[in-house]
Amino acid sequence: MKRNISYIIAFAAGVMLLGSCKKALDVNPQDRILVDNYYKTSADAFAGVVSVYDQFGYQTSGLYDKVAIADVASDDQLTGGGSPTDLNDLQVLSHYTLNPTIGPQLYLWTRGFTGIYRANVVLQKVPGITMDAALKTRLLAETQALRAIFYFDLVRFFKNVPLLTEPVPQTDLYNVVQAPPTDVYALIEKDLIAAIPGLPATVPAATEGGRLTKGAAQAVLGKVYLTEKKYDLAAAQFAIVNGTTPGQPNTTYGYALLPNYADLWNPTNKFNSESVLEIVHSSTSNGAWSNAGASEGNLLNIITGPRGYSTVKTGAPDYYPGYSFLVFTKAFYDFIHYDPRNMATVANLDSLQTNGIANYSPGYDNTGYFLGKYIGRQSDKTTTGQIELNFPQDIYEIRLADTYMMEAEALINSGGSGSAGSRAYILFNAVRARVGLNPIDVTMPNIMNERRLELAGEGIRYFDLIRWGTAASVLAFKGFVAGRDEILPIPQTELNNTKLVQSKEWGGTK
Amino acid sequence: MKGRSTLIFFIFCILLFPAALFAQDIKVSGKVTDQTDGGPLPGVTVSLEGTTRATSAINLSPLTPVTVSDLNTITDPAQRLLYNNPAAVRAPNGSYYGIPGLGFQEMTNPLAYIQNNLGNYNWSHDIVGNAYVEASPIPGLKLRSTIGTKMSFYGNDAFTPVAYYSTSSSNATSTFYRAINYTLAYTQENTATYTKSFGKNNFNFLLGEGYYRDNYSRGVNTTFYNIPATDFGSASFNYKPTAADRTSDASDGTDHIVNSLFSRVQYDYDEKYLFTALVRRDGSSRFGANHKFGYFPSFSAGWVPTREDFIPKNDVLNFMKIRASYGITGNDVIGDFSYVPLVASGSNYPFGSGSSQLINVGYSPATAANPDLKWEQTAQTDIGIDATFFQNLTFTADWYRKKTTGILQNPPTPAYVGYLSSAENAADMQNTGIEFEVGYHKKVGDFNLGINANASFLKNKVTKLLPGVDYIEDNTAAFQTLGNITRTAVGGAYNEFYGYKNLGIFQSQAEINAYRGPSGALLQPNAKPGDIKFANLNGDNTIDASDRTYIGNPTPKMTYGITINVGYKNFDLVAFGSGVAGNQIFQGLRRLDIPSANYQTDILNAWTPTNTNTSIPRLVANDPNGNYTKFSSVYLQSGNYFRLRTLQVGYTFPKAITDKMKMQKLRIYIMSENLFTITKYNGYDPELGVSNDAGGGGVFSVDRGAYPQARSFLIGLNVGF
Repeated sequence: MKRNISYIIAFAAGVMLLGSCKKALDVNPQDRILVDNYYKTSADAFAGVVSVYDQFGYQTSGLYDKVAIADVASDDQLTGGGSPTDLNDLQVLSHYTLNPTIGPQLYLWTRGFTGIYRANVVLQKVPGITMDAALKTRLLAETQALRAIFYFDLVRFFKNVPLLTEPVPQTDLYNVVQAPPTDVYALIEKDLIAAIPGLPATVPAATEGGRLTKGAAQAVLGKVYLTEKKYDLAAAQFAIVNGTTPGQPNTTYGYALLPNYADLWNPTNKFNSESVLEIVHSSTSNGAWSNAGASEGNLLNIITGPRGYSTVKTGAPDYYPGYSFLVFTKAFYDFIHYDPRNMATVANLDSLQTNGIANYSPGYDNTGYFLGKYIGRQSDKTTTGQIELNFPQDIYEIRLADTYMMEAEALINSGGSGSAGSRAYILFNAVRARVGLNPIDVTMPNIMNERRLELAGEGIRYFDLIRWGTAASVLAFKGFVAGRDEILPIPQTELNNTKLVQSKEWGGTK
Repeated sequence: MKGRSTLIFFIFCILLFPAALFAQDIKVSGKVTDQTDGGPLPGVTVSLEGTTRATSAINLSPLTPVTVSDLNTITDPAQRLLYNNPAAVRAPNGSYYGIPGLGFQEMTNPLAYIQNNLGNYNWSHDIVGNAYVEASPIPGLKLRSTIGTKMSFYGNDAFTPVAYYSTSSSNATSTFYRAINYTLAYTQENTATYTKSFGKNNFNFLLGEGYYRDNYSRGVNTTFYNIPATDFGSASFNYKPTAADRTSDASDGTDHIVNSLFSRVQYDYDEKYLFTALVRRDGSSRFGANHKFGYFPSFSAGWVPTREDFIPKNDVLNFMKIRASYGITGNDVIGDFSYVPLVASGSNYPFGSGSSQLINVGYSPATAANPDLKWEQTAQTDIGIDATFFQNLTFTADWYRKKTTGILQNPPTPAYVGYLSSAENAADMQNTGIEFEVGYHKKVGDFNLGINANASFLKNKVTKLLPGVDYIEDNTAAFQTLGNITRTAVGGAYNEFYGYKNLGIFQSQAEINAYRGPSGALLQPNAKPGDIKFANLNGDNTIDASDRTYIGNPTPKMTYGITINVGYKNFDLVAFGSGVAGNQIFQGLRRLDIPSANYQTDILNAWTPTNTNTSIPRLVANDPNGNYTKFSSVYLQSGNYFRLRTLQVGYTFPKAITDKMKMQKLRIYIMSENLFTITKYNGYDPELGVSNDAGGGGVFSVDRGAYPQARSFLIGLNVGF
């Protein structure tokens, strides 16, 4: 009897499994969803578009972003930090000793092309979803505008980039070539023009703040035209954003300059009336050191803070101690010293320490002048997670004072007047009046000064210098080489096995 | 039960014992032995924490005091101020742990860090069980069903107090973290074997089927912030902070399943001529519908000339066997679901402001899919000989060639495509090698001697890469600002070191001035005497990335081992050592991004005008010539080593004594593991292998401060009742 039972056990165990071979290999993919089963509902479409925005706000785990890169590339700021090689990618840019292997270029390249890929997937998949037509139009318009923004950054930083409007099939991975910059600009214009009608004029700030609006896309398009020196077209776009009576609220979009300049840098002032497009940050994503770049917190807030900061007297600013990056030069401090925007722009740790109000440890290339606009504060540090990585302050991609001055620049460059009574004059002096400065005529030198003061530390001046053609002379003291440093080199790893060619400026043939 | 034709065995053994307190982390290792042969089964998990601490130890400036008992000894007022921070870490005796000055970024005083991590530990328990049922319904036929399981429970507890380590490294809130995970793997095998002999013809047939499932895993972890505790001992999850001060996470593993059908025929004639043929079909959950299954045949033949009549029995050659085999095996080591396009969460972005702000979950395609992904196959040809001479000298030699086709990898894709690399059958490779093993056993009176030695030699060559791909660089082995340091190309070895060719040290300015490109331009304008001269391999006017070449092989050419057993009366001694030779190690212990980071003492031999006979370039701030930022042989060292892994001396008490104590056996032994290592390598440990701990990703011999193996001493008793 015992013997028979054991036969049965052995045989049953065998039979149980023999028939189940192929099916037994099916495994539940857990969090991963098959692409074929996705892009079926409006929620799927929205989640796809969110993934494109994600790249718009992407910061590297190396603790920097596009603003930090453009800041250190300018004449007004140094990389600073803890040592001459701290955040080395920025140090080499700051000193113009970068090369195709070392520098921030791979971050910029990846940010752009990952965003473009995700946008291309959305543009390919979402049209086929059965969903509310108006919502679909809006989501596609947002995606197209974001794709244009990614290309605009790429073509300005690298000039010679591939132009991809759909996902690259695996069989063509290595067959991609670069496009002429004029083709890239043509796509940027086309995308923005196509997107604008589908975008909302305004969004409810509390729930949708940060999403693309008509005004945001028009402001970007204006900036694209200005960069291309298509001044008439630029002025026309900016005019829509800036409204019929500069200095007064735009009746369609609600844009208006904030009365108090310093309020722009209050982290609770997200999506204020001056904000046209901003990168949204949050203190609640629990970003951790294991993947700092995945945090939704603002990393500029921690890297710009003074090292070892501690208050001595009550009333000292409540800065959160940081890593002392992106310090202003002494020359810039002297330039802005008597401007009303000085206090909101520069955190003068030198003076705080000298007067016994607060202490800090000077970092590398220390000047004592910190980027006050973006230093994290004790008052807005997160209550959960790693404080350093979860500051909530948003970053302006474009704000109204910028578009006012860009319209003025476009107007006078297309032959318009910059004297009292002209639209350029009203625009330009609205920006000055907000901080209590007297009106002056609009001339290129005046615009250059005003933009340098108004937009300091916001990642804008480097592009201005390139656009004005003054980079070579202004940045010479940093080691800028004319004919080379107007663009960044194509990252070395992108040349491996591919048909991409290094730009002429960097010793290549493109 | 014994003696009957039906035997039923249920063997189930669980043996767990915790061992070894090590440094500040408690290591718990489980060891499970197989009851049938007493050998260890796989299932020991040892995780080494503290790689970054090891790196801190070497990179911190020696000017940072270990401890400071009197703050007045710090003369720099700014530096002294740092100690005013209420969270500055203090030793049990009240003195401060030294705080590094500026320029050390996240490098902290390792002792301060250890002080704050006392008590934190990782643990793991592995339970391995096997059971089988065997039946023999007719003579010669054996049916066998085996199940095996391995259950692993593992996790860690960690408390991090509020602490101030340096201006850039501090914890503003205390955290208490606990993770608990379990993983289950199980296997089932059913086999039928039939043995039959006709005269001197012996047949053995086997049919079998197997099912193997692993990585069925679940994990949860939670973190409490701001609990009223100051160290691990006082931390407890029974403190309940507010909901905002608690976070938690959980994870699910993805099952990996393989199922197999196999059959084997063995035939021998008088144990003189031997043949085996085997074919198996393996299916894996990691491949798509058309490629789930792989078919893997193998054949072998053997001949034992010493059983032939024409070789008479003699005292010189007792036994000899000549073997030849050819077989194909499969490998499915690649990520799950690489064959099918998937979208994944995690591309999040916030919209809105204030309390209405919502972090929206974004989904995007994870990677490109490769529906053609299939089993990696290795075809191995082996010719070997086994022989015994003079009764006690054994000798084995093998020559083999392994051709691996369709190596499974995730080769890097250009970033412009926007998606991460997809899994590929990326390359073909060939390994050719020779292996020898010699053993000698002799017993003379009370004296017992056994020696076993083996050596194997390996040559590795990549024979094919994907179309359009000239070479693959492994990003996981990138080093700081050097970028990628390895490259794999057809004709070369796998993951060879790729960098600048070092032509030696410039001894004079005249030499630098004479080193020019075809246009007459100085090739190394920033060089000064004492800097490295890099080869201008492409013959242009600059030294740049296109001048790099293959400069070293991370794979050992030879590995060897030796075991010695000596017994004399009641004493016994076992020594086991092994080593490798012929590879290069990338020694990356120093942090390039911290210019004031400490050096190892070798730097004392750096080039100076009076110390010119050296290969170590001059010491200079900012390294204008790129001596250390251009990857060259200054980073490479010979990886040769020999390590005595085990030395054990034991004494077995005479039977007269043990009988009195009513014991079967009483043995006392002392043992050392890793007693010594002979090597010229100046890093912590030349035995790196491939591991994330070593920091090389999937690449051999890249050392970024891997935690060295500990040397241990044990005293033990074997008691049998």
